[in-house]
Amino acid sequence: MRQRLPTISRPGFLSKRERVIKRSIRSERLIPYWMLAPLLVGLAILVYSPMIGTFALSFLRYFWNKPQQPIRWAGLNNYIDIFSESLFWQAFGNTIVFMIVSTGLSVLIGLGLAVMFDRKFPGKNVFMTLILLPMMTAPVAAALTWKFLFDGQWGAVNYFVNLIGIPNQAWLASPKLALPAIMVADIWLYAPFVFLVMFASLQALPQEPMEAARIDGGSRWQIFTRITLPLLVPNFLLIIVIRLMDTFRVFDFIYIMTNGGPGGKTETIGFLSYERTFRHFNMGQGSVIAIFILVVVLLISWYFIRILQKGLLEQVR
Amino acid sequence: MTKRNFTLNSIGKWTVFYIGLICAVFFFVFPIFWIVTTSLKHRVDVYTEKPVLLFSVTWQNYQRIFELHDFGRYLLNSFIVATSVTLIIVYFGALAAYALTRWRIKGYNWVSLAIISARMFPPIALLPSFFLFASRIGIVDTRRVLIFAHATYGLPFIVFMLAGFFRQIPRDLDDAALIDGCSYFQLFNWIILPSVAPGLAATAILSFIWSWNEFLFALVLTRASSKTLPVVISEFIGFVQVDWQGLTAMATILLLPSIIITFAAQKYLVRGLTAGAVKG
Repeated sequence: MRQRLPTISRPGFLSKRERVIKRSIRSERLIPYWMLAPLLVGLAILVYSPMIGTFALSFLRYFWNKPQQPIRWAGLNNYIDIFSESLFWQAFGNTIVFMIVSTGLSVLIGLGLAVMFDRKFPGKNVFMTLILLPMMTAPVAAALTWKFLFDGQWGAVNYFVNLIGIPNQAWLASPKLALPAIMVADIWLYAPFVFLVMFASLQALPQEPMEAARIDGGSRWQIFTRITLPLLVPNFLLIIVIRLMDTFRVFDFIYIMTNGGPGGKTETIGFLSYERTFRHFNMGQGSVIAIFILVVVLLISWYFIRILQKGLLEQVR
Repeated sequence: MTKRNFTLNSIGKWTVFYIGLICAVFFFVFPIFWIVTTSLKHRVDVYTEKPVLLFSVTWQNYQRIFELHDFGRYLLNSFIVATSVTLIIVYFGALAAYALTRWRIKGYNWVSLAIISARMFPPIALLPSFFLFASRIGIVDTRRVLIFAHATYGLPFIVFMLAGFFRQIPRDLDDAALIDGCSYFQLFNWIILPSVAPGLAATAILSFIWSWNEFLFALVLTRASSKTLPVVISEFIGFVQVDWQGLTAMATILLLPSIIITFAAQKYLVRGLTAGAVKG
């Protein structure tokens, strides 16, 4: 850092020059805080206060479309109402199913593709770009695309299904098929990202253990399951946590593709919270569900947060 | 003899490999191909039993959404919001990342925890009181409120990403500039920022796409005049009759930036996108 100028220090008395230097050192110490201030103030106003606000709202009885109605303290009533409601538990069940299947399949597909690309073959770069195409697609556009593809009347999916002898289906209107159809859309959008991360991790792995195993006569499959996969576990955990977090709060796909229907079969808690708050104007109940989502997401992501924090810490050193 | 067996065997393997690969590519590319082509089709080619692959191209659908549905205005909204968000995020994100990687900060654990966990909070958990507050002070349905919401919510991820880039600039650079009499902000603006330009570019692209794509904040915080594209599209779906031609044209416009970027800057983004998920 800046060089300190030599000063003569007398106890209890500072010359003018010393005072200036001391002040400038003190203000220098504050510089990183000034640099962090915009971010921290922004987070405090736009993220943390609304969070506390939502927590407070969850204890109130408040319909925001009726401003003349008094806001009343409801205690735990909103919580009791929500947790004793069958729609909430149905939505919770759907969300869990969606979360597990979507995460599982997108990780498997991503890993499969990453392993396929972990070799040299003609056209590798072109294939890679094509597979990564959906990665940055807007969720709304992805949902709309799949809504069109799954359309019962004009959708292209029906055409392909007919080819293998399955009759036309009204995918998104069917209680059994609607949720799987949304999972397909979700996997389509996020599997490329998983693929990219797994591919980058494979490339970053040290080659020596595999080489050694090959020399010792290990088969490809043995090397993959006994050495490569265990080495990938940390990356696996991270990507699984990211996917679990994102699928647990799924909203865009539901809103665009089915609106929670048919008969609540694709209702998820993210969507239910939105519905309560902004369609039924019931701030209290909407906030209860929002807080519930927050708690679950934080529980899932605790591991992820610790890892990121460690990463940031390493960067300081 | 053995040699031929070997080649036949490997030809078989490569055939299976390429079939698998082509199936995967088909699954990931066909939907986008389908949306883009549908937006260029005449009515007769859209509403058919069998998918039509050969068709005469028309720009009618685009013309219609711009003329009848005032699409240009919402396109402009999306563009203004995403651009402002990008500028804010990149500058303040870089500032914060620089501070975090260059100084030992008191309460470091708390600061980093506050930044990282803000990234985890689901937007839906903020929105009830965020909306209430915004409507009380009368800023709902302005581009301003959406810009602030997107910027703040997008910042934590970017700070984390940029920290990786700052780590690679040698400290000697800072010291040299300070000895030459730069102030800290001069140092940051004129020396540090230019030397992480590639990182800033990747960050800018991601921020732009994040704001351009974002739906939930936009849905809640904008009503009429300041709507962005995803919101307009969601409203256009309607309940009874779905106008697929218009919708696919809108979706194509929404998809355009992300497709262009994937083709143009894929290599550079790989590193940025995988920040935090891949170590090493």
